[in-house]
Amino acid sequence: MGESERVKRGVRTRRIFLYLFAVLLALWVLFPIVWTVLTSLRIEAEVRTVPPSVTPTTINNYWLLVDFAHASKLFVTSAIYFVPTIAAEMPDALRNSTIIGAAIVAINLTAGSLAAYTFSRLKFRGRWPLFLYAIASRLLPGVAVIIPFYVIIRTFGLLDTTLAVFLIHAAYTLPFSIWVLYTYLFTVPTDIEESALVDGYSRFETLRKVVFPVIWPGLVAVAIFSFMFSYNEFFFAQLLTTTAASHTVPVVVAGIGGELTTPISLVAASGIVAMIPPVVIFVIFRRRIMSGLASGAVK
Amino acid sequence: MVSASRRLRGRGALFIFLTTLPALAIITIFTLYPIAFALWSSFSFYDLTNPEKTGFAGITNYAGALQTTGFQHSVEASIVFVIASFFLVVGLALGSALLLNEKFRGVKYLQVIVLLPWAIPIVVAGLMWRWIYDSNYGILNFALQSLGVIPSYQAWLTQANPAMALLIVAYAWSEFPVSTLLILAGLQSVPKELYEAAVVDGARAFARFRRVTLMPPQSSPITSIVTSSPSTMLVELVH
Repeated sequence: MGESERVKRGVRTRRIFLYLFAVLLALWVLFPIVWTVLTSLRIEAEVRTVPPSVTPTTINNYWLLVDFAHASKLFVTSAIYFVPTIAAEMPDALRNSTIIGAAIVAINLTAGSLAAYTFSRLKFRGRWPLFLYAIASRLLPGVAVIIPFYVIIRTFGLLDTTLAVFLIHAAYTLPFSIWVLYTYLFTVPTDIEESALVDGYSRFETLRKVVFPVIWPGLVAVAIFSFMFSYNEFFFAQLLTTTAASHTVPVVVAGIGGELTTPISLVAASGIVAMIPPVVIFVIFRRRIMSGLASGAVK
Repeated sequence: MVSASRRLRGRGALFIFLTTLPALAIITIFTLYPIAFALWSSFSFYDLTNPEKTGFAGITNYAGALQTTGFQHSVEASIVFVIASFFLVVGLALGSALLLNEKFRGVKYLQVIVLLPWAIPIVVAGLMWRWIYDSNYGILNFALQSLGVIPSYQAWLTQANPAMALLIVAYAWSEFPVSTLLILAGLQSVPKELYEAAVVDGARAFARFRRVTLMPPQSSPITSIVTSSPSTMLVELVH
């Protein structure tokens, strides 16, 4: 009896510690986000107080970001509420970032998976050097190549276009995707593919009907990682874009936050708006993402 | 099998070409040329007042860079930053992954919550933390003063050591979700039988953790993830 009592108490202590750590982890992650949300829901004079007070009073900061032209006429008077004009670009930036992100996912799922398949399944001369070349380019530090990147993009006449940002993000995500899918393909048995080929399927048919359905966890991992890279990337986007035609979300938020005169509550609101597309994706595809990654696609 | 490999030889070349060309083309344009360009210009000299006058400069550019005091200082700072944030991120991620690998009520929600910092562009995260650390109205100052740790508000980000420590905390917050996810994926792919076998063999909890959980080489990607591009946030926060 004493033994089982001790085991039971051990289980309960363990449970208490689990919940304690769970609460601590949630607090650590959520606190900066909650604090930013609270900051964004106040006007500037109410934010700069000691001690800080947090009751929400206004949604004007969000209104400004959604409909700048209208909102700024209504309540912005430059004397007390200086707003950088780049804040007007938020809707465009959300559109640009989402389009670039979707295109990046598409190119990684097509060009990336095709190349990974060929490198892992077909024996041909030069396969190994080509594969190493394809994945080693990821080692390039961004700062070292930023000037040549700029020169190339200018030569193509692509400065200040979403295509330019797309091309560079593609060059940065493809090596990683090829590597992930290449590794993943090795864990998949090849018998079914081979019998499909024997049965007269073409390579492309085999890929579509046999290989892709089997490697979907790897494809999910590649999709989510490449989207997040593209959506978060600041350095190249900042250099290659100059107007609302191609500005991405991080560039616009940095533009808003970079002005010392910008109300901090507006900066906070723009940060929260920037989170929306990825969070929506997480919530919709949560199951897929978790099971895709948990099945060992990324090692 | 025979016919499969014959098919491969016949149409193989075209297939190989079609499947690898798009990826390799994009990678090549943004890899080979930039490397060549960076190498070539690092050995050249430029005269800003006379654009025609360029030529071979040997290693003088490198010597110049190494002699700059700012350069040495930033190399030191980068090394401290990378090492400290590496350990903090790996520690946080390992702890979180072990927790999220347990079964308790709400763990599914916690798994999504932990991913949230990943959804925040690092530039945005930098601005969020800068506001928390703010010298006049920051919540950090308020909390520390209320607890009696500091007598008055401090300008944290202008003092070298506190700035570095706070920067590392902010960076770890932003980066640990991805590492957590990867370690968690690794943990969930460890076969249950291994743990059972270890229990049968009489291994204690810590030994089980060390031998079964950590030994499989699946924690290796952490290295590449953690050391990637800390510079953006560094600029944003320090600036």
